[in-house]
Amino acid sequence: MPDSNSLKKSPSLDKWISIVSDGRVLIHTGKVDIGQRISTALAMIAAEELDVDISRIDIARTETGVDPDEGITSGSNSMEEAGNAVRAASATARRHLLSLAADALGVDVSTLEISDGLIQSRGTNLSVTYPELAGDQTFGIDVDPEAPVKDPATYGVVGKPVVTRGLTEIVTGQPHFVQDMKMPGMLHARIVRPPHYKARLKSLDDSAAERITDNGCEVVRDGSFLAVASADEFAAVKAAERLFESSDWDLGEGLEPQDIFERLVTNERVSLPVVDGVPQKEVVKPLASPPGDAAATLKARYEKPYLMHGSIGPSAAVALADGDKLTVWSHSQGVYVLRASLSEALGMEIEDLTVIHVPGSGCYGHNGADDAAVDAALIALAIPGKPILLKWTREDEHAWEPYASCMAMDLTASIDGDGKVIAWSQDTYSDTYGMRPRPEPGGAGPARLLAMQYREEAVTPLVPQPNMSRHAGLHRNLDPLYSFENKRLVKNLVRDLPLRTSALRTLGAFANVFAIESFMDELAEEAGIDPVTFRLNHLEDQRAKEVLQAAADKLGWGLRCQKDEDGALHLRNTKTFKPMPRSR
Amino acid sequence: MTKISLKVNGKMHEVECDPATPLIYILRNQLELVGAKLGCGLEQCGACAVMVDGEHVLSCVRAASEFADAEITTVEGLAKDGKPSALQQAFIDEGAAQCGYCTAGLVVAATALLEKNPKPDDAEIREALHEHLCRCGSHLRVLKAIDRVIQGSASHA
Ligand code: FES
Ligand code: FES
Repeated sequence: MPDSNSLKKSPSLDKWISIVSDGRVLIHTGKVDIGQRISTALAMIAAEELDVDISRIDIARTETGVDPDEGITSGSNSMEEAGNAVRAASATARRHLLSLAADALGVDVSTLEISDGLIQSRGTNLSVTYPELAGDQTFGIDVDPEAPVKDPATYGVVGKPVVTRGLTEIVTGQPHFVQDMKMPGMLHARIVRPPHYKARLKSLDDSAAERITDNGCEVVRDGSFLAVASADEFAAVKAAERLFESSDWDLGEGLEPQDIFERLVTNERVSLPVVDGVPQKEVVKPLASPPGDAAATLKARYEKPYLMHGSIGPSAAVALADGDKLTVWSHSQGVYVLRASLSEALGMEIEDLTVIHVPGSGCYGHNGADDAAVDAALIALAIPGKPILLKWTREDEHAWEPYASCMAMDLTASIDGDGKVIAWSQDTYSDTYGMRPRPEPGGAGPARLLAMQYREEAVTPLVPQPNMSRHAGLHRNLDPLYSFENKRLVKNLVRDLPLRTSALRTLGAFANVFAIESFMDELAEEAGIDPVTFRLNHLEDQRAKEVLQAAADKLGWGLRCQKDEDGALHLRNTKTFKPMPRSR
Repeated sequence: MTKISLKVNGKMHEVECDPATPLIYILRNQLELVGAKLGCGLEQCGACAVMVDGEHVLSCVRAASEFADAEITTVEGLAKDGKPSALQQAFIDEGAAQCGYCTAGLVVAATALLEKNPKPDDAEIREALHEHLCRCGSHLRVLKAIDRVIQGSASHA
C-alpha cells in the first residue's frame, strides 16, 4: 500500500481495532463524519477484510488521546488515508487471529476458514471465535502495511449496497448531532456578539446584568467576549437579547462601504508567479505585449463573491471544565489540531484537554465549528463543573463564520491565425483559504480563533502567509490543464479585505476553472473554432482528452454546433439534450 | 412560568415554562424529542417542522402555549412499534440525506403532504417541500424516496 501517514503516526494495531467480548469489533479512526458518511465506508472495509458481518462493526467517534491522529478530515483524502489504514489494520488483525487460531486448535493455518468472526478448521469440528482468541488481551503488534488484503474480485461487502450508518437514527429523529446532546446539569449558552467585527465592548449596564443573573442565568464576560448560560434554553436566548440591548459598544470607525472587487485588485498584496502549479519566490513579470504573430488578443475579468458555507445547523459545541481538565465535544474536522489550538489559546496542557467528535450539520469546509468549540470552552472554564451546550444562532453563523474568499481572475490571451493560443496570462486575486486551527510556530495558533480577538488579552488576527504547495489554496487549478506555451500565472494573496475567510470546497479551484473555461469559450469563438475542438487542440493529457471527448459524445456535441450568418457558434437541436432521467 | 399541557405523539405532557417559549425548545429539551432541529429560529429553513392536527407547522417561533389541546406529531411519532414508517424507510433505502440535519423536517413535510394527498404530482410535491432548505443537496433523493412511497401505495391499491 502507499506510504501511510496515518500508520506512521499510529503504528500499533490496537490504536485501530479492538475486538469486544460480545463479538463486536470496534474500529478507531481519526477521520470524522461530516455528512460524507466515511464511517459507512470504513465499516465496509473492515467487515470485508476481517470477515465479520458489517452489523457487528462499530466505528468509534474520534477522541483525542484514544483514536488515531489523522489530521483534518478534508480534501477528499479520507478513503486514501483512513480507508487504507483500516484496510491494512483489518488485514493484519485477520492474519494475526488466524495464526492464534491455528495454535489454539492445533491445526495448520491453511485449513482455516472464517465466517462472521468464527474460525473453523476444514473437515473437522474444531472452531474458535475472534472474541475467544482475543480474550481481554490487546493485539500488541503493529499494523503491517503489507499484510495481504483480499482480491477485489472476491469482495462480498465492498461494492454492495448497505444502509448508511446513522441514517435510521436521523430519519426517525433519534439524537445524532452535537446539538442534540444532553448531560446532567447542562446549561444552554448563547454568545452576545459585537455589532460588527471591529466593535469592542465599552460597558455593560450592571443592573440589567444583575436582573439576568437573578433570573437564574449566568453572564460570562472576558473583555469583549460576552455570553450567557442557563438551564433553560429559551431563557438563555432572551437573556442574550437583553444583554445586547443593555451593552455599550465602541464601534470604532465602523465598516466602510466598499466595492470588494475593486479592493481585490487595489489593496496591498503578496504576488507570486506560479510555475507547474507551484508558487515561486520570485518577482512577477509584468504582462508582456501580445506576440508579433498574434491574430487576436482578448482580455476578460471573472469574479466570484464571498460565499458562506451556510450550514443548515448553526455551529455548536459542548464543553465541560472539571478540575484541571477540559473536555470539548465538537463537530470540528480535526479534533487533534483543535486540541492543540485550545491548548495554546487557553494556556492548558495538552494532557488536560480532550476533544471528542460528534457530528454537526454538513460543513463543506471550515465553518464555525472550531470557533464554536473555543467559545464553549471559554464559557465552560468560567462556569466549571457544568456541561455547556453552546449553540451559535443563525445570525452568528451568517455573520461570523469564516467565508470562502471573494476572488477576481484577470485573463489575457493571444491566438495566432490558426486559432492556437500563443500567450496566456492569468492573475488570480483572493484572500486566504487556510485559516483552520493549527498550532503555529511562535504561538500564533490562537490568532486563528475568533473568540481570541475579543478576550481581555486580545490576540490580533493572523496575517496568513501564502500557501506555497502545489495547486493549493487560491492558486488551486490556476495552472490550466491545457498546454499553452508562454504562460504567465500569478497568485495574488490580497491583504486587508473585510471578512474572515477560510476553506470551502475545492478552495480557489472552481473559480479558477470557471474563469479558464469561460475564457476558452471566448477564445474559441474569436477563432471561429468549435469549443470542444478548440480545447482538444490545446490538450496533451490523453486522459483529459478522452474525458472531454466522452462528455462531448454523450451530449451529442458534434451534431449540435452551427455558425450563424455572423459567424457566431450556436447550439442547434437542443432538444437532443436530455435531462437526467429520474430513476424510480 | 405557567403549566401547559401538550399532546405529543399521542401522549399527554404537562410542562412548566415561560408561556412564550417556542414549541421547539419544549420538544427538544423538556420532552427530549430532538428530531425537530433548530436551523434558523426564523421560520425560514424547515428544519424544525412538526405536524399539528395533521398540518405542517414550523416549531421554532410560535409559542408552545398556542398548541395546547392540539395533536402534535414529531418525526419520532411517525415510527410505529419501533419500525420506521413507509416514508422513513424509503428515505433510508434511497439514502435521502447527506448530513441529515434537514432530514427530519423533510420527512415531516412529506408525511403531512401524503396524508392529505396520497398521490401528489411532481408540482405538488415540490410545492409542499419548497420551504425546506437542504444545503447538502439531498433534494433529488428526497423526491425519489417520496416517489417510492407513491409507487408502493399505487401497487397496493
Ligand atoms: S428552525 Fe424553524 S424554520 Fe428554521
Ligand atoms: S442533508 Fe445536510 S442539510 Fe440537508
